[in-house]
Amino acid sequence: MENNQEVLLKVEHLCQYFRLGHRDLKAVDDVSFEIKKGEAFGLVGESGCGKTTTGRSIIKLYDITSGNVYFKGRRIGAGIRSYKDAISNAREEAAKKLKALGAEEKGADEARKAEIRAEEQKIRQELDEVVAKNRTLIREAKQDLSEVDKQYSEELVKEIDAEYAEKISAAAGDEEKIKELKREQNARVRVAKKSKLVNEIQMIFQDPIASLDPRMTVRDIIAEGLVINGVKDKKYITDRVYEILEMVGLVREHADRYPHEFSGGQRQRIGVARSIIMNPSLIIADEPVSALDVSIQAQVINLLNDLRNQFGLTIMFIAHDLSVVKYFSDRIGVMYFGKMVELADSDELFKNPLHPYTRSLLSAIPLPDPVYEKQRVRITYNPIAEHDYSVDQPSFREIAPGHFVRCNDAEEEKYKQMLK
Amino acid sequence: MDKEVKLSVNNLKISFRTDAGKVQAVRDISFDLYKGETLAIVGESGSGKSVTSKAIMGISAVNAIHEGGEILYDGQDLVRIPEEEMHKLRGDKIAMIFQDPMSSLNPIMRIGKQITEAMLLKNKANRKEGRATFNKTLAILSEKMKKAIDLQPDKTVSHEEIDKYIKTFDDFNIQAIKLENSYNASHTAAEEMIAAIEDFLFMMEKRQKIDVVGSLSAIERNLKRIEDKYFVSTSAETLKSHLADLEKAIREEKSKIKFSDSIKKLFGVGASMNEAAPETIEAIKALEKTAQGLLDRTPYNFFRIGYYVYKHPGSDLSQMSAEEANEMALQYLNEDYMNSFIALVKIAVQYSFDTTIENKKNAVSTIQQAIDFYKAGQFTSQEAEAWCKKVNESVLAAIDPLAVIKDTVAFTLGGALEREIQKYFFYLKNNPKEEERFARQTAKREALIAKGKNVDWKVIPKSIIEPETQIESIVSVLKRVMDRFSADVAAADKFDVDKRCVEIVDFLKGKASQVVYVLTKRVAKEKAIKLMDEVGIPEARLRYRQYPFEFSGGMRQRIVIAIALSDNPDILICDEPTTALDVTIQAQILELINKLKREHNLSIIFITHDLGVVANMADRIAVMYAGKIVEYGTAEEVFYNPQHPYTWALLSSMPDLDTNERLDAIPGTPPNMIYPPVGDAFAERSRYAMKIDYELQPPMFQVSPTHFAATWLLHPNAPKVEIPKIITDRIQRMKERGGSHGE
Repeated sequence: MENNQEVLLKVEHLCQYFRLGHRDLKAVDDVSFEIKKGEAFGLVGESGCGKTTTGRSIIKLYDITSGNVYFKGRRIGAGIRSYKDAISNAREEAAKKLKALGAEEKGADEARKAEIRAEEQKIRQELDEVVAKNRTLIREAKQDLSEVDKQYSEELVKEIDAEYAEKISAAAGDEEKIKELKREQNARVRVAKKSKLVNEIQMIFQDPIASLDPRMTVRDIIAEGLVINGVKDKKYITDRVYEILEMVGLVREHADRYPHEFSGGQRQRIGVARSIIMNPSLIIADEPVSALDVSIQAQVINLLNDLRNQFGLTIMFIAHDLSVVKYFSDRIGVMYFGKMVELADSDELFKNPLHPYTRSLLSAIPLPDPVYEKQRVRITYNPIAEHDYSVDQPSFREIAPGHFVRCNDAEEEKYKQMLK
Repeated sequence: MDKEVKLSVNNLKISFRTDAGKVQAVRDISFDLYKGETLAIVGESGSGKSVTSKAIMGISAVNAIHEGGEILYDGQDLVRIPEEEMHKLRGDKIAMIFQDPMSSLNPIMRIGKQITEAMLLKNKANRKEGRATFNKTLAILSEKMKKAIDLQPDKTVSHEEIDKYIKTFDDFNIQAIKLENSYNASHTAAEEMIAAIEDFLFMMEKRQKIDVVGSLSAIERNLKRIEDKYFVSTSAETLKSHLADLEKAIREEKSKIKFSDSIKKLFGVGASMNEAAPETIEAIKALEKTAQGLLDRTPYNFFRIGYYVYKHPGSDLSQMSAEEANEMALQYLNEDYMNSFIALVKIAVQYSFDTTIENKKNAVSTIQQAIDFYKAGQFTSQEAEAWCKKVNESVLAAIDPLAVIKDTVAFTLGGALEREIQKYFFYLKNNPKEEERFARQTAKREALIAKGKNVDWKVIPKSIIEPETQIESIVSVLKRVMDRFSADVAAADKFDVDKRCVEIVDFLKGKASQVVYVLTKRVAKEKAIKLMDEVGIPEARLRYRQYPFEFSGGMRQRIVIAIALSDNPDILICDEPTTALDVTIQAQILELINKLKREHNLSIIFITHDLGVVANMADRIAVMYAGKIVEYGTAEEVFYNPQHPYTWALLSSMPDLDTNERLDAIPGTPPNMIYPPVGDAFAERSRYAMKIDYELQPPMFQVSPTHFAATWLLHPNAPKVEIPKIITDRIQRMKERGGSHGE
């Protein structure tokens, strides 16, 4: 990829917890990464490690627990649990301190009492500050979330208005044409008013059978997004559907068939078509090939690659098949139990895997090479034996430029040594 | 290398009847499976690999038609034997692991019960069957003896004497069974006691809620059940002292809970939890050790001792050590009874063998006539059935009743033949509706062609199966029996009477002792836990009581493997066992299957579409496409020297870690198997297709003694074709890597 450093999607400390009885199930816990425009970002990990949840949280299928998601510089997702936690923690701490001071005050002399009162005052003030700060953050987050779509659609409307103002002035005198243009403008403005920023992110699902409605024709399935967005021009919709169908390697005749009449690879193509009709800038592909046969897998991967080159799409590719991810992605993030443990360029990751989990994952990839396979030694990952986090807590750190690993100080030293 | 062939599939053809016509799922495939090897079948979905495996298991779908060919296992044709015979093989000799572990487990049954279910049922069936076979065989033996003696001029032994011999054999076997039964009861009690102790110690260690007094009493009950004098013999005193210890421990535990018991009960808490005294645990551990010692001792041979005790009622050999008693009883048995009995058996066996050889000669000629009759065609169903009956009678008469291993091919001939004939007449029947449709469609098609239009559809044939092929199938059934019999007749002078005698006596002994071996639930549980440990499930004792949904995907697949292994099968069919699993779990499961294969010397048929998995597992690989095997060879040959364009396409369409160039996707989709292509099925999607590929099916060309491929490219007249660069590059890389590993 060319040197394009524009950040399209930025995920900051994303947490997604699910309630599980009295406890929280931390499906995604403090994950941060950036996806640059035009790149393919791979996310790997075993099932249940939270990679799909990450994808779904970004596209707002879930309300995130805490953290921020920025898309094109706008905040599209924000969780407020961390701020609330901060407030309640501060309150608890202050209460504890005040209680201790209160106990001391009883037996103290006058001078000490004054001191204590001053201290109490200070603690209360600090608490108020913390609460106020976090409350502002919460308010901001809520406001951002409620206004992001409005701002986006207003901008779109403005753009359209500007575009048509020019056209209309150019066509001055021709009443018929101006009328036509105005009608067109109104239609587009109506659509623009309904658009949401999140619509620029689209998703491709794993199972091409389950994700297509069996009672809708391919045309309906593909056009559904447009219809929901308020497009009413039948001819425009049909033309668009045909265009997209040909783009993904199907033919026009397929538009009036039902999903069950297609093979697995073709169904997945329909899924791809449905996602690109909305002109997205980011596609989240959630295991798009794992339900397919080997030969069909290659067709779908090639299709995604072509689309990416053609439209400069950005793709977030979630999968557990490492050889496919390696082939497809520019950068890869490895997740383990809701945490991102390593993030690097794909070549770098496969050349210098640092985190023990990444190494065990890489050692488990089956390759079509019998001699190598029979000598292969699988590394097992045992988090309890590998890490000692009792004293020094780990965090996500940059070991080399662009190569991030979750580690603590001692491990950071070790990994740096390994890279040398 | 000469290897034992476990299973061989020859020219198998399977189709499915559907509304749209006949789908030819498997078209004429053949392969052999050797003992202790893994054969991988690779192909896209719809290539017929699962259909083949299901045919081997005898679980084909209802609309499947078996059009020809055979699956031979242990001399039997698995596609033709009746369901009752298949029952004996399925799960017992041939087991299967399916793709989705959740759908092959019962969601409302505990894991433990699912593993032990088959063991318990099988044990029960075995016991019933054992006694019946014993009686039947003994009766036949006596009858043959009498007949053989009658033929002798001097008649050395009278009929009464033979009856006496047989009765003695029967009686002392019953005596032996009685002794062994009581021995086994104690043996089982000891095993159960150990199981109970293990359970108890485990619960204590895991600090689970446990009723100490209740558990100890259960152990005590088991201990009291160990009373057989042969079993305890020398250790009776030790056991008694253990019992005293245990009783004392129970008293103490009881006294401990006396005060708090009523209060605890009031609050609904189980009495005394996790409070066993250290002395109690010590005592129990000592008891377990003693019991284990008893179990590990050389067992008595009750077949011999039974005779001694039968002759000397009231005598007691329990004070002797097992070895001495066995030796002494054997000598006594041989001198007093066995030698003369064996001599009699010998006469009977020889007689029975000679008569069957005569019968076999007759049967061969009858079958020959029958084959001629069927081949001529033009027969009514009454005629055909009369011949079927005649052949069956002569064949059944030619089976040696004293052969230990029954010739199942001959045994199942009647049923197989009858079904084939019925099938023939069923397909022969004219269906007026179908005829009409056929005529209509043909007319339409011809009219279109006459107009000069391009017709891309074909008329569905009116009958599903050709009568000629069905007759061939009938003949092949008969032929196999005939070949078998001719071979037997030819090898008649190599017959070893002594060996057969020993075999038949051993067989009787085995059948008698089948009755004795009782598998109780508790012992089955211990076996299941051992099995769960073997397949790598941690804390098996705790997980034994869990339900399938409490397990993760990998663990569930392990459970399925444990169930498949619970009856010690010969052949394990794995139908995409890791497709639903993650990379790391997949690697674990594959390692497990490989390990079990080595330990149990299993033969494995491994079905998958993932070539990466295959490289790890397979000794040999068969690549299937459109119901045919297109390439067949050892793993090294198929990966390093692929010959068929389809294998190339498969290899080049999957990226490996060093692939950077565009993937070589296979264009199009697999052909519609209602109208299978005339020539090479892969021609339409192949870049290397030549004209002949569209016209004629390529035969199997031999590349090396173990490597075959069905492609015209291997024909000497074919143009030289380069293997795609993506593959040559990869092979080059692999060789470099492999070379560095080799050094």
